[in-house]
Parts: sequence; structure tokens; C-alpha cells
Amino acid sequence: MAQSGMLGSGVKVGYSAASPVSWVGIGQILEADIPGLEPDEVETTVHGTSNFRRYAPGLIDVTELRLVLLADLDEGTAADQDALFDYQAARTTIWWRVEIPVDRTRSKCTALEFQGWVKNWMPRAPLDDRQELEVTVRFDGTSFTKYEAGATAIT
Amino acid sequence: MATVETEVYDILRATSGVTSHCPATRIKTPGAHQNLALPYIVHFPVAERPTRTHGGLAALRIWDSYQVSVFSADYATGRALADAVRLAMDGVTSTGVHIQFRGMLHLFEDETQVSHFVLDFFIAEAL
Repeated sequence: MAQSGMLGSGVKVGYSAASPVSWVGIGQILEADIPGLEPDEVETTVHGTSNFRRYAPGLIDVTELRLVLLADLDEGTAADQDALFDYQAARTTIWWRVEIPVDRTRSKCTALEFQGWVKNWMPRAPLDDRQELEVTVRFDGTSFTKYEAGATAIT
Repeated sequence: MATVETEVYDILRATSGVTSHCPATRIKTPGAHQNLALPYIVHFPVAERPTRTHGGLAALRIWDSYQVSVFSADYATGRALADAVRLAMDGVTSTGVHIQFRGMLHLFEDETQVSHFVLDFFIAEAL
């Protein structure tokens, strides 16, 4: 329990192209925009005496997973960053798991799982700053599951 | 593991353009040095930006400002030494550090009648 709040540090992201899943952790994550659900809103206001507009929930969009990594473009030392490029090139939909720590010792985490494909794989090499790699993942599945807090499954 | 100060010292003392003006024994980090002959160099890190990932600190430190101060009895000598320091450090891409020159300014210390050239560098240090 962390009712006094927590830092975001400690998020893990893994992918799996295998069945059953075997999570491969992505290293050196600087930033992680974690996906969530965002339904369309469909207006259902009808003529009448009410002063309020009404809306029904529409189709649900799963927002993009966006990662900014401390770049290591040498496949010999960062096979994960290399693999993400290959998955994008192959247009392969794979499983993704995002783990968000729920306690300060990071012994437990809340996990989100879904299927998606690598949409962007964009290295940045500024003249006078660290190299970064930005990766985004677009949802392509039939479920978006949030698991109860438990132990990590990403190695 | 070498510190960034050691890396800078090793670069400066190995550059004949620097040591021809200022011997390696007068290239110092800050301290209570007394009666140092002019010219001399004092160098030190000013501002660090750690690279923190979700998995912990990365093996990379970025020093947005690393100062090398050149002190000399007159402007011309100081300027020549400052240029030699800049030439020695700017563009270094060794295993341990990447260095880029950021700028230089001149100050005249009234009380001691010493010329002071402040050189500012950007350093990325691998740990």
C-alpha cells in the first residue's frame, strides 16, 4: 500500500512474440507513456425538459504506448532495441506487458497486457546531448487487461 | 574508475601545447593552494545532470558545465594558455568522456592583478 504516494520510477515494459508468453524486458527506459482506455462519446440528448446533454460511451480506443529509451543501437549490447526495429519492419503484432510498481519496495506491480505492433522506431542523435530512441506501440487486439497487483513477470 | 576530474587532468597534462605554458604540477582541482606560480589552471565540475532510467541510474553522467580556469600574470599569456586548453579538450571522444567547448570569458582580478580566463565545457562521462 502506498497511500502517501509514490514516484513513477520502476516501470517495466516487456514484449513477447511467443506462445505461451515469455516476456522480454526493454531496458534503459527514460520515459513511459502508459496506455489506457479512451472511449468515444456518443451524444444521446433528446428533446424534452431536461437542461442536460447526455452521452453514451462509444467504441473504446486504447491509447498508444510510448517509450523513450536511452539509445543503444548496438545489437550486440541491446538486442531488445534491435528487435523492436525488426518487429516494426515485419509488421508483426505481438503481446505487450506494462508493469507499474504499487509499493515502494517494488515487490508488487499492477500489470497491463494487450497486443500491438511497433508503430514508430525513431532514434534521436542531438549534437550535444544523449542519444535517445523513441518507440510507440499501437493497439491491435481484442482485450486490454489490468491484472491485480502481484509479482513481476518481466525478466 | 576514473573521475571526470582525472580524465580532464590526464588530457591537459598530456598536451604539450598546455604544458609548454603551464607544467602539470600547476594543473589543480580546487584546494588551499598557496604561492602557485603563474600561470596555473584550476578545473572542476559545476553542474551535473544524472541520467535516471526506470531501471535505475544509467552509466552516463552529463556535466552541463565543467569549468577550467586559467590564471596568468598578463592577458596574452593567459589567452595563449586558454586557447591551448580549448584545443586540447574540445572534441575529445575517448572511451571515458566526450567533451565540447561551450564558451570563454575573461575576468581581471583587481586585488591580485591576475588575468582569469573562464572556459566552460560540456562533458558526457561514461561510468
